[in-house]
Amino acid sequence: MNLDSMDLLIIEDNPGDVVLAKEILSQVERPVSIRVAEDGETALSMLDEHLPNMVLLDLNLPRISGQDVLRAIRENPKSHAGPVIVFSTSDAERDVVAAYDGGANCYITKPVDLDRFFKVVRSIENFWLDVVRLPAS
Amino acid sequence: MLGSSSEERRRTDAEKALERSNAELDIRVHQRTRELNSAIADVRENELRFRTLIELAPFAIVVIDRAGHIRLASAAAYRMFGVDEGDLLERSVDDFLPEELGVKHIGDFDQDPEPRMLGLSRPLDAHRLDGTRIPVEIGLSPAYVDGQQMIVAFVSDISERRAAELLAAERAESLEQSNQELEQFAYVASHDLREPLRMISSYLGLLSRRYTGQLDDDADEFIHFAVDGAARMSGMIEDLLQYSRIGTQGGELHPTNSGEALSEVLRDLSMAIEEGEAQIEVGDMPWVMADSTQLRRLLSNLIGNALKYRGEAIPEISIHSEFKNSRWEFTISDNGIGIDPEFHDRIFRIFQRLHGRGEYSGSGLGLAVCRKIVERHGGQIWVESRPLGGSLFVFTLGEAQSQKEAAKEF
Ligand SMILES: [Mg+2]
Repeated sequence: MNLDSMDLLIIEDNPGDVVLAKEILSQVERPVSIRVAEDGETALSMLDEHLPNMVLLDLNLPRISGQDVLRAIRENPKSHAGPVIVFSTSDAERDVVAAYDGGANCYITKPVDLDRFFKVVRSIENFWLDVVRLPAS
Repeated sequence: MLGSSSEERRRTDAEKALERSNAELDIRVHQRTRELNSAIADVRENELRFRTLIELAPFAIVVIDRAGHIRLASAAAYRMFGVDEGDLLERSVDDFLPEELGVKHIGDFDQDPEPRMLGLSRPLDAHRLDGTRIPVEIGLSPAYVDGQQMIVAFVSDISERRAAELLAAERAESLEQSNQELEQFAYVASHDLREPLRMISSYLGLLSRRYTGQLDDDADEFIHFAVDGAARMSGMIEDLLQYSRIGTQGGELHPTNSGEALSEVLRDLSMAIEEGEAQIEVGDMPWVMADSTQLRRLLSNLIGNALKYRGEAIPEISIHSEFKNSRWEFTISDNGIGIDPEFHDRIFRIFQRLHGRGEYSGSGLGLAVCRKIVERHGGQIWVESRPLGGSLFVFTLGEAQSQKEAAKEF
């Protein structure tokens, strides 16, 4: 099988979530490259250096909120078309609406257990890498 | 002397007649006097009775003339307004009442001299001469006194009632506030608890995925129990969140077609209904004042329970409504396993389960949610046992103000 590689930036301050995401992504069949930013400033400078083919964005971040990081990503012509998946604990309607208004491609509530996490990653992978055509590719 | 003798006889006759008539008159006068005395006594007795009535009445009685002057007042009036008799009589009602209900109001009353109550719909304060206020209700009635058209006012001091009402309102408000705080707490707590719990469940999941079969049997069992506990806790937290949202995120009450809500619920439950080969019987369903999402949830929980707690026989569930005591009363009856009357109150409390986890699944929140929804709608919910087994759940909802209006709105 010839699979596109998965080049991911995870913007997440909780190390537990980072390890979990890495653990699950390590079982994905295609080549995966993961970079992690623990806060918004780091994330924006990393994005400036290298554009991944997907961003996984936590909302509750220190200093710059995920919402502001999202706005910065969309305002930057370099990154404004890339898929950003908001990945948050909150399922409050106002957070969901604000994320989509801010240009998120997808809003996913962090799965409450491992099995669901696997399913979520599998559908992210299938959809964004195999179904959707993006300008970059 | 024949003439004179006949004259004599005639005179004697006349005298006798006069005597007789005098005697009759005397008797009549006596009788009249007696009657008069008795009448006077009656009047006195009546007056005394009247006085007693006035003096003993639990309200003050004040007679006012057309100019608004006080012409007569009962002892209760002196006590209520804290004045001597001489100080009250001949004063104007304006000294004791707000201007619009004083002398000015007498004109209105003359226009339409029907008995009426003041202070019923709006609170009314009378005032004493020193300016202190008395919450009152006043009954007004036209009356003839000394041949003159006057107004009788019956004044009740309702300070105690007003104070009690105020206290009740304050209590209701503080209860409402503490309920809201509790809901807020439940919301925040359950929301924030999800985060660490997600870590626990996920990493337990990872442990079990990676190490099951590699440690000894005990370890596998330990992990299994931990995973199971975390999953259950996660379910409870979700339930708690939803429970707290009934109050904090519920919608407004609108005229709602309960029949439509019921059809939707039955459609959602169709799989379970078919699986259990349940027979559902539905009566006429009215328009009610409800948050339609919550009404569906309520019906779904109750019918879902009836399906879940079935007995050996094929489930027979009937849903009916009846207009009773100016509210709609809904009944959902089943032929299931029933509930011991001992537990009829307990089942509506949060996280109460009557059965072991092995027997029936569920966190024990369904009926607590039902009660919260019904109470939020100003209704009541309870359960009764059916004589031949099974349960009868009853809940009440307010009627939609007008069916026509409701039809217009949708
Ligand atoms: Mg975070």
